[in-house]
Amino acid sequence: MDGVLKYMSEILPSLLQGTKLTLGLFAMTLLLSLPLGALVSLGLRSRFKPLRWILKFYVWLMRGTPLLLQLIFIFYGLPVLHIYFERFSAAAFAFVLNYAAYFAEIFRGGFQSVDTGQYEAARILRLNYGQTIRKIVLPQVTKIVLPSVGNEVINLVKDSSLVYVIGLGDLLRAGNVAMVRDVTLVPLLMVGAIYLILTALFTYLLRKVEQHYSYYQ
Amino acid sequence: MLEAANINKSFNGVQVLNDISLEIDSGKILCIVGPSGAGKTTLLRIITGLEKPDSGSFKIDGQSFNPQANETDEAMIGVVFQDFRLFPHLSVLENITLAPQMVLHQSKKAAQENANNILDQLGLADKADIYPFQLSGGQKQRVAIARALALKPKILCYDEPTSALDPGLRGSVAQMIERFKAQGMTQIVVTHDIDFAKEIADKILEVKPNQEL
Repeated sequence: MDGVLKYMSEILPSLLQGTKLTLGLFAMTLLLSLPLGALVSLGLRSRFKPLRWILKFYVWLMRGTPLLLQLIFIFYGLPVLHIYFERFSAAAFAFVLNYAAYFAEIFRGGFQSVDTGQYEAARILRLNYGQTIRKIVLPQVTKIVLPSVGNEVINLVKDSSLVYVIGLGDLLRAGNVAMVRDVTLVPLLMVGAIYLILTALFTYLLRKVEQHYSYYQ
Repeated sequence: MLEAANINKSFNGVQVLNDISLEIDSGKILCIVGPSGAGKTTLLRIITGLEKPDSGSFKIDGQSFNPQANETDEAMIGVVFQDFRLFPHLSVLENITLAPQMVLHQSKKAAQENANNILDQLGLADKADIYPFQLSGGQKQRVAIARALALKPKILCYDEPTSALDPGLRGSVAQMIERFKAQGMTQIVVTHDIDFAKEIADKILEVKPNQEL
């Protein structure tokens, strides 16, 4: 028993190192894909047809192919066109594009469920489009989409493990390395526990945000 | 004074408004009456710029204007919607102060002072910090009125102000409209309630449903 604990404490630093990368990618993806997704969803509702068409194509492409494939394509494929990414940037780029597409669809639903009367009331009060979106619509959309966004946030924690394919040392990969080297499943059990702790933490934070928005009905 | 002349509007080939003209003097009350489906609300939506007429001309104090243009500095027309359309995520006070701050560029303090004055007048002084879902129908309507008044409109319009309320509140709505009249406000009231219209109106415009061909 002591031996196992000792072993666990020995590999913990390398797992935490991997967790750092996982969390870095997670934060970067959320920070960029949420606003991008909101913008895309506004574009999907634009009256300008070509813009709608392009964005629909983008969403179809991103949701229609595996994220793993997108990662490989961006890191190994784009250099053929002389577009080079560092490993982490490639991962962030793929994740942001992919998650923004999902968020765009979630936001599109959110925008649809805000009553058109709200837009008319804002118009009569002579708010312009930007003011109406910022002050009237987005706050209501945020409340509506929170549960679905929360789902994606939890998915993102785990999806980040796909970056092994371009050689990034995330949490799962750190566990894998230890497992293969030491021929034991203990590292993977620890990896599972760390993922569970992370998702529990984010679930708790999401609840808090939902509670913050429950001040009105 | 507001004049609208020769308004025509059809939806999908069905003529809803056929050459309607109306005139209302400053400080007076015009009631637009008619059965449901007659196009009363459509007429109001055209006057307030929410709907584009097929044809028609509009003048305010002799100056022609386009109701749909949104860029003038002066608020021309305020609207109290039938379903009020308060902003659910904003407190009563924020509902009222948002537009004055964003559109008239009032300071937060000035906007709040003005809003509190209006709330006071409408008997809602103690409701400033609560949210629309906590209000009764009659209170929501008064907040909607306060929100419109905060932009200091020349004309205040109501769409069916009695229909979403308890019958007992009908009289107090009439009183409120009379009080604004005494303060010099020009008002347009769309209603299907002829008795209510007769009670408050200086002038009644009857909109009849179009005979279908």
